[in-house]
Amino acid sequence: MRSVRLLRVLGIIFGFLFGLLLLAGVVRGPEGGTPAAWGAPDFLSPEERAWLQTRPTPLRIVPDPHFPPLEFFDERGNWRGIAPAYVALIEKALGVRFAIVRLESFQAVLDHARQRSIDIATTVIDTPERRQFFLFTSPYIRIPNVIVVRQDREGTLSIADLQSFPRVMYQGGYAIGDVLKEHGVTHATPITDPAAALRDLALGRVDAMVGNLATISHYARQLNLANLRVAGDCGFDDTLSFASRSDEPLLSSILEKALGTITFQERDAIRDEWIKLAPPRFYQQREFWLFLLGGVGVFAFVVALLAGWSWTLRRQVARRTAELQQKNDEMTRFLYTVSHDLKSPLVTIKTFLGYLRKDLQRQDAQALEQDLTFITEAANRMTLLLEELLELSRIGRHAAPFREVPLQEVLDGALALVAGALAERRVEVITPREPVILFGDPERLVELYQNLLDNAVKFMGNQPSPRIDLGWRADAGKIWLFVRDNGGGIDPVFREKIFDIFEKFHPEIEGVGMGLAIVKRIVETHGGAITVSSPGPGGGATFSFFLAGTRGGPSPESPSSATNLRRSS
Amino acid sequence: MTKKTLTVLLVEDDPAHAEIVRRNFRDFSPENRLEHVSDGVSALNYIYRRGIFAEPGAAPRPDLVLLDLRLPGVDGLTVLRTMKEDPSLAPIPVVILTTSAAESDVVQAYGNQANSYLVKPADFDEFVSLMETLEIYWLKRNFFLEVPEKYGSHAR
Repeated sequence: MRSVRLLRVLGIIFGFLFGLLLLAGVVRGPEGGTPAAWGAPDFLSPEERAWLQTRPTPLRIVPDPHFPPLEFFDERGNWRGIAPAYVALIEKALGVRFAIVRLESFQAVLDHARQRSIDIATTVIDTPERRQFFLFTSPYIRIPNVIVVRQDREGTLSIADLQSFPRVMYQGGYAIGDVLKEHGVTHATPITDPAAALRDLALGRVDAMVGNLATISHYARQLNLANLRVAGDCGFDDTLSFASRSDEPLLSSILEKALGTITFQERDAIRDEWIKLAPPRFYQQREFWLFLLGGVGVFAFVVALLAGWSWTLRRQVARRTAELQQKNDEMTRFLYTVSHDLKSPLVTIKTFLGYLRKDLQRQDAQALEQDLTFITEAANRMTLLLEELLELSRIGRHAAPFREVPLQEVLDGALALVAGALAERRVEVITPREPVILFGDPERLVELYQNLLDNAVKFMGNQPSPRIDLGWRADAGKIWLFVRDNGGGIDPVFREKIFDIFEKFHPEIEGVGMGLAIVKRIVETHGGAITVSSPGPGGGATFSFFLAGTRGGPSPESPSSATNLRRSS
Repeated sequence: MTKKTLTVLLVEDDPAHAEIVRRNFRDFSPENRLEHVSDGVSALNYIYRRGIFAEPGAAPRPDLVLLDLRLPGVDGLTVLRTMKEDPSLAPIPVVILTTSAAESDVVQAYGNQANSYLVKPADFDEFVSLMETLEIYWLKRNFFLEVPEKYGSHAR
């Protein structure tokens, strides 16, 4: 059942394809060159058809041998140009082949026509004189007559302008001489050889030439005469027709009808193929300048872009170099400090070892005890220094990934760590009312605050009611966090060096001078900066810093509950 | 010849190092007086007789200053510069006594007219020997223009 249906579908498909093939065959029919099989074309009348079909010999068609690009014979003897393209279409329409007869000149064509020894001439201007032996089809091509000059002569010209040109030549078209005379150009001479005349024009031996645009452009291109230009139109076109022997009126009407089957598209295609108006020089074309302008614009843009990029890069390099230089200086200073500070206790230990030996020799137990204390203290100091150094180096390395953490959480952690010291000194601590979110390693941030609080407590001086104010303020788009105390304050001379490693201003206060160095390091690893201000000794101190990524507003996970004034005493 | 008591001002923040200098001083130059301050500000206060040094006789003019470079707050170089820029203090010889052997420190110290630059040796004998030489050169030879016996024996 199914296979029957399949066969039927296949049959339909094959039938359809066959029909298509058949159709294609019908359309291709007349091209086969067998008019008898299909009959003469139906646009002809019965008489015309009969006349055409009873010709004993092919119709003789005679081109003008030297009328490029309308028609000419190339070096291999092939008939080429506009006329043969039309003739090919006519042959196709009529389903016949003409016999091409090559004569030596157009004059010969006219001579043979008078003697009725040819049937069709291809590019003939219709004149009363020629109607004695020719019947003309309607013109199939119209070619303007133009004024051609060298390119150095500017402006548009009309025929009348040629009066002031000393040497004018015109191509021997039928009526041009008369037209020139009508406009007062009486000194113009006719051209016998268009190629030679154009060469003379190009070389400056002739000042202007009037002639058929097709011919002129053909020779100008062939001779590569690039310095010529069309300066004006004569307002007078050559119209060319097919001419057939006047004793065969049917032939003329057949030709006329065949010509009528050629479409406008076909005519335009032929014309475009053979008559190429010398294109304007590239610099005369608007597109060229637009293109050039665009190109220059794009180039300038690219150059500007590159220059900008290069400038940015150079600035970046300069900035990075400066940063590296700064880091290098810091490192040098750091190494200097470290080596010095590590060497100090070593000097102590070694020297007191010498004293120790003497003490032993003298059996002086008391001195021995004292000298041992010096050694122990130096060793302890060295241990402390190394521990702090290790801590400082740890900050540089990213242990934990950065995350958002509410300031309150950090403060809670730090305050818990310094609770003992705060209580001992009875310090009042004020925490900020408005919540703020920090971005960083929470542990380090706690350490940062712990060190700042430590520092504040340590340098509280003899303040009877010690207070530490922890807060923040927005300034110039940055959130500045601050730790303000009302303690001993800072002498302005120390302010520059206060963040330096092992920089101790108060020998009587314990520690190795690393706390603020650690603070600075933490702030810097969090993309921030820190400054300190103080009105001077006794006036308290304010450490202000910002960290990258700090933002106001409550944290999503810990809504604003951190708005209290806390006393940790 | 009457021996004048000379005053040496030691500016040293490390108490252990100060103790070493003090012991050496006691051994080699007991007839002279050693004053000790532990930071740059105190050193300047002493020299200019300010603050706790304002009382008459509290700060005898030093005949020699032993100056550490790394001091808390105002550093040794600043003290040195201040002294040498003051015509009344410039004649006081200043001997730098520090742990740093860094070239930049040496250059800066001499550039600021330090009279001598001595590096604290990390060795007992060397330290003692250095202090002895220092004492002979700066306290005996320069001030009395006589060669003491000790110098002769030490010179060998």
